[in-house]
Amino acid sequence: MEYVIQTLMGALGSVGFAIVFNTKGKRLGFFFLGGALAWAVYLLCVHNGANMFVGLMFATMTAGLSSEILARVIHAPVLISLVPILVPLIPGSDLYYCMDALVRSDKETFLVRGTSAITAAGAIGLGIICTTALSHIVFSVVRHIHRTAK
Amino acid sequence: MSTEELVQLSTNSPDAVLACILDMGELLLTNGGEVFRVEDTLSRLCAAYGFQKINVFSITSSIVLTVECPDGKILTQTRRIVTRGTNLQCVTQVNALSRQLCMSPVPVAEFQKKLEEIRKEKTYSKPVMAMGYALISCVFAVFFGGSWLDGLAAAISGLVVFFAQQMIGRLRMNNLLENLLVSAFTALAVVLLVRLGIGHSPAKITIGNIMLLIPGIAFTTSLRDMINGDTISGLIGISEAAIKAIAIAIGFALVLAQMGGAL
Repeated sequence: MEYVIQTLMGALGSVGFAIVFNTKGKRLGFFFLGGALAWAVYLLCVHNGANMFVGLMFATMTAGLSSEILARVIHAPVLISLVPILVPLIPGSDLYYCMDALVRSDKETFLVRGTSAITAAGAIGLGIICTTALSHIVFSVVRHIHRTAK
Repeated sequence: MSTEELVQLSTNSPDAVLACILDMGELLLTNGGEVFRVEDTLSRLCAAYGFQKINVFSITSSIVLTVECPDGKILTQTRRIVTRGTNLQCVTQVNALSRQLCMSPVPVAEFQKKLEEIRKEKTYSKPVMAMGYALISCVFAVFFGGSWLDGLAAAISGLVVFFAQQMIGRLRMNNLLENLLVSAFTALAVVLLVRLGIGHSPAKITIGNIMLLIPGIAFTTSLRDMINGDTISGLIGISEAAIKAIAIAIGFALVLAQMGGAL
């Protein structure tokens, strides 16, 4: 139950950022679903023994894949869907505790949380690049087949 | 438009055409488009308008564009990008316009009109934006383990963040100082709310608020830029994010040290 609420909240966070970033209309519903899916995948990975890096990477790849599909449904660049959908994955609490530690000059917590934030952001970045490359290959192949079939 | 007409266009008023194309890049960069999207869009547009030997270089704070006109003249224009925000609607529209222009280029006057249309496009009204801020604060306070009461407190202090940003933004002062002041006001609101009995855990409420302020998205996209090969843009983004995070931390610390209680 706790996880269900967390997933719903994360998804609402996606919608909230989509509004602040000035996206309108039915897209908001897609972003809600995308955000929920991304966080659900993360929870699933972590509960099956994956570490944070792997979990975030898989979650990002799910988000990336949904954005690639969404981009073709709503006729807008991938970025438009990807930014809101990734919101629940962003290491907000790590960044918060990291800077809190910095101000209190608690070097140990600063290092632990800081490394964690950088690892998370790295995992997300890598996930994005992987899906971009993957979809590029897939769509090139599809286009090639399409052309040779004609 | 036929090829001859295109050649004529880029020979007669190449400066104006190039300025319009750079406007597209500027709109993309100032509204949250990626660096590689800017470079890609600009080179496609230049090719569509019949320029040759197209060289685009862009980082988060600048665009440099050098092209060769059909008559052999070489032109360079640059743009300095100062303020950046995120307006995904605008990025979508610039992208759509760029696709349309690449298929069928239009004369300069029409190009300028279309750019003006995108610039004038309405954003959400302030009350809706404020609601968005409240929603984000509330859900992330609960997301990171706060109670529903903490969520309520975060929603209220989320509104404080919005109005503080609006007011302080008008003063047009240094970016760092601006973030510091907004954070200090927010921390004050959080402390007062907890003292009034709304919310239990100041830390969870603050995390909800901080999702609005903290450059989490900037941090993540910078890492992506670096992995993607846009190292300079990535470094600029990460340094900006770090400085902003420190300003926010100091803002919160200033108030909390005076009012007592850990973050």
